[in-house]
Amino acid sequence: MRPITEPDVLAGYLTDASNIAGRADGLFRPTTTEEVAEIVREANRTKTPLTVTAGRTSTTAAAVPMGGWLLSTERLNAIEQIGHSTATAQAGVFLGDFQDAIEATGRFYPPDPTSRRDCTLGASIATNASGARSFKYGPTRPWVESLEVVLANGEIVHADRNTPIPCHWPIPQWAEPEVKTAAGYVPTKRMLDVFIGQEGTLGILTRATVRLTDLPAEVLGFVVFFPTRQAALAFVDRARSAQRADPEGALSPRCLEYLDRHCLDLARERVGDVPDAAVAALFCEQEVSLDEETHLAAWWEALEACGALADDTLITTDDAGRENLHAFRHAIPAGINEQVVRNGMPKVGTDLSVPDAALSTIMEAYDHAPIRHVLFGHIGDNHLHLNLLPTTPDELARAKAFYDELAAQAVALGGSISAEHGIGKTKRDHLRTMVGDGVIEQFRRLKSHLDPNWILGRGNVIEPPL
Amino acid sequence: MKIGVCAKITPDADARIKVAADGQSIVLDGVKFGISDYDEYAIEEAIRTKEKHGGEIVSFTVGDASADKQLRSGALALGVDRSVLVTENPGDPLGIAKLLAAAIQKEGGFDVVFTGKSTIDQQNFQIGTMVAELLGWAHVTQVTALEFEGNQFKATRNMDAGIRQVVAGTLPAVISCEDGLNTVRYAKLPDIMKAKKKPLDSVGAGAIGGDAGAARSSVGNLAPPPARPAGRMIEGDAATAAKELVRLLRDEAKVL
Ligand SMILES: Cc1cc2nc3c(=O)[nH]c(=O)nc-3n(C[C@H](O)[C@H](O)[C@H](O)COP(=O)(O)OP(=O)(O)OC[C@H]3O[C@@H](n4cnc5c(N)ncnc54)[C@H](O)[C@@H]3O)c2cc1C
Repeated sequence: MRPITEPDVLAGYLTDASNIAGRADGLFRPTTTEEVAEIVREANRTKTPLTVTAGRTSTTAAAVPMGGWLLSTERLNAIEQIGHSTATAQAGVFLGDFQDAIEATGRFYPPDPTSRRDCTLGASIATNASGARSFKYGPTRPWVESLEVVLANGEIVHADRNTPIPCHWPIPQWAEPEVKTAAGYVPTKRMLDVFIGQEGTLGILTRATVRLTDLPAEVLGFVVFFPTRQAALAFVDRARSAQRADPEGALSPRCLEYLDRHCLDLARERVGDVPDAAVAALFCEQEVSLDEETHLAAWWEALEACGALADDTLITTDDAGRENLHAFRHAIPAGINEQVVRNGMPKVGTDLSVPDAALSTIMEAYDHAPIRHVLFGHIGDNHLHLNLLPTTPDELARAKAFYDELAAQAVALGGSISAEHGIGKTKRDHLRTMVGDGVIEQFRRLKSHLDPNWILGRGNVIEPPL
Repeated sequence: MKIGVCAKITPDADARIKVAADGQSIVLDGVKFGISDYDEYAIEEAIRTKEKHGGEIVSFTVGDASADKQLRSGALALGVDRSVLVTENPGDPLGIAKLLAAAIQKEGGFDVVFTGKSTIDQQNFQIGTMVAELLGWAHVTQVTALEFEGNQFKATRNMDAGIRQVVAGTLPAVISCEDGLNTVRYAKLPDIMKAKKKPLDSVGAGAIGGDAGAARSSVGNLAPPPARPAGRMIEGDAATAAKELVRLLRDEAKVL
């Protein structure tokens, strides 16, 4: 196989959602696992760096090549099997398309990164992506049943839940923080886990089989408004305890998404229906496992008890309405993007998670943001995205410095420097802050063992050797 | 004011529609239902009218008994006071209009009845007009702005080429609502809970003294749009491919 080298074609593959521009000498668009293996063997033989590029929605420059070849998974996009308990597809299928096909059969694959329409199944596994529903269903990892992987030497391996790790693989031994995390190589005994969340550095995923569950028949959608942040946090606490005590109970949200007062200002401008007294809101979903009235009564009681502006709670009880309510939520990223374009400066977005007990502490830290900012995200997992919106190079520098401080604080609180977006090329320093030099060295040993020439995903997760 | 509103339950706007094996209906399995989008504007306008002028809102639906779920969440929870669901399945739009007119007449005393300009499933654009004719009332289609004063109304409708027409008339009237008339509100939690207790009468044609009569038109067959042909790859290096692309755009697609 020969790579495509025309600059016009390559130009479309050199950046991702990080907006960092890379460079590449060639591009492959294989259609089969065997072709992938052949390309990898050639890259390995010639010691040519090989970066996998998929939907390019990575926010961390993980999909940005720093020289060498690109392998796009766009033609590895066949949906191969949808059964009752599992479904199989090639890695490059768009996650949203795969989920549509699964849901048409009445089954359900829960991981729902917001980018699911534009990101691929393979990359969502390679980054261990999560989404709003991860509060109930967890991240991608527990939903992966088996993987087909091309290793750096071109060997094709299959790993399922029972495949042990070959004894000579130097798996890092370290304690991951006990929070939602997608940072660093996992300490594991299963080969499958090694390839989930490795950001294209340890192997190329070509095919995946995932687990399915029942598609919830009905889902209630809520936007709940609060007159104070304390009231919102009180409700999060209460709903979370109830959900953990009984995941199918009357009050058992499948997602709890926070919107701060800056978000509400954006929503006020765009969609209305935001009460004047609201300074915080939660966007929530409740699967209907009992009868609807029982759920509504439990929500009502909890909202009143926590001091929510319960009368103003927006609700939808059907799918069509839920789409409308999503419009409310999507007004926020749209508003932020508009701001970013107006500012002509990139935003600085955080992805930190902390233990339950540290949530209010980290939120107070966010209050000290030195420049204009917006706070929203997966509060059920203590995982909020602070978006800093600089308007000048000086503000950009201050935003970045503030982010470094926050990352250190999240680590000190027992949290993770990346809950879902991964490390890529932009958060290697934060990873080092979190795990320390010794663990980075262990990561390096695993990487060198599986990929002695450091061809795969060069620059992601850990700094490459010179 | 006594305000009526006609609302149909249709497949959701995002539903993936497939033609059934009989060639005359669509596959309903797995399809989600909701109140037709234009009827949502009708409901919203009814609520706004009541908020301004006071009164009572009654909604009318001809449809399946299962429609009560959507009526509670999409009509009663938003501010409709009562719903009448006529559980019949007439064969044509005229039959539906006859049942709606009968139900409106049976209830009696309305100043105005709102409908959508059409429904998003059948797109017949007939019901509002037929109901008005059967009742002998004034009727305005595709309304994008509306005012009442005493027993008079002034309705703005959009015509082709962006021309706006203002129609004035005397109540009672049937007003068919167009996109742009208003912005539909979200339901609120206490209202959903209260909606469970609002009256929803499920009745047959007999109870409202209606008769759909024999259908005067029927669906011959349904056909999906032709499948889009596969894309064509143009081979060759960039310069040759670009030339070929321009030639195809000019000679085949005739867009240049
Ligand atoms: C608007 C927006 C919203 C987002 N929301 C979320 C969210 O809610 N949750 C979340 O977790 N992330 C989110 N992300 C981040 C991003 O979408 C995810 O990381 C996603 O998994 C990347 O998928 P992709 O197909 O775009 O991969 P790319 O960006 O192309 O690649 C991502 C990484 O995966 C590697 N990779 C891709 N395919 C393979 C493969 N087959 N084998 C091995 N490695 C591979 C790449 O080399 C790269 O390192 C969001 C991003 C954007 C822009």
